[in-house]
Amino acid sequence: MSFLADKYAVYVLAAYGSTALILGWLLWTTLAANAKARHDLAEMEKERRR
Amino acid sequence: MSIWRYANPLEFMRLTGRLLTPLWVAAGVLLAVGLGWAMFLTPDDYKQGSTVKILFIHVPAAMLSINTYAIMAIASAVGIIRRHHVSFLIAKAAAPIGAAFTAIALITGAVWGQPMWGTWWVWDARLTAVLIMFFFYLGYIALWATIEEPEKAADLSGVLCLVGVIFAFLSRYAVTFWATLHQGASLSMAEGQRVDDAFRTPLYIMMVAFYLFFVALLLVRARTEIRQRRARSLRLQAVAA
Repeated sequence: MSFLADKYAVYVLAAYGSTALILGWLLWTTLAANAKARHDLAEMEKERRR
Repeated sequence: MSIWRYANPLEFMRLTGRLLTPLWVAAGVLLAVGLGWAMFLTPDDYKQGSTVKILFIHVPAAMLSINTYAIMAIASAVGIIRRHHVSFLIAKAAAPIGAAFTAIALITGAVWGQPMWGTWWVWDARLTAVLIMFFFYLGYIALWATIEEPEKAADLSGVLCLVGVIFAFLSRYAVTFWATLHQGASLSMAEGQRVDDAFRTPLYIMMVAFYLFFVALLLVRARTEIRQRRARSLRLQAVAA
């Protein structure tokens, strides 16, 4: 990682770090909401069959 | 075979269920390759030093921020005109993703601007248009969240989305219309290449990776919306019975 020795390294790390945080948050909330919706729908369909 | 058959939620769920795994795999592989190439195999720029590496996330994020808004506008228009529920759901599902990519474009742009321009922010036409477009994303998300009746929420947020199209357009073309501190398009078919070969291939890889990641997220979010609607409808039927 030669760029770490560069005087601008902190800017590069800040840009990539903030991008990773935002994309990680987006991925996490997307998958969590999908899992919850799948679970809720399965519960409702189970209830309807009863 | 008509494209409108995919406006049927069952058809949509069947098709997207098959597409998702290959999309995630392709996005993950290309992201790993693109990041590895960008970080370890590209040289520093002779003027910008290592900050040139911000290019590989800033450009794809900025492109996606504008293109996602265009997708939302088209989906909203189709939803309003043809009353296809999946179109509205696609627009609704795309909004948080577009807002996230716009935030990335704004943040990475500011972080890049500080060492290169000497300032985090200027009120030039492009930056201001992107910021206003970001507020339209937030307004669109807030409107969906505020209105309880899905049909009404879809119509009103669709209209809001169409009003904001002008700022998505200005985000893209402001650099052509006015003199701005922000540079012109990095990749332009009309004006030839402005990015050196050493940076172009990893940039293209990152762009494809970001787009595949976007499509995978969009499909998952649209599927979530369809499931939530189905659960809501079953709940209402149970209450009515």
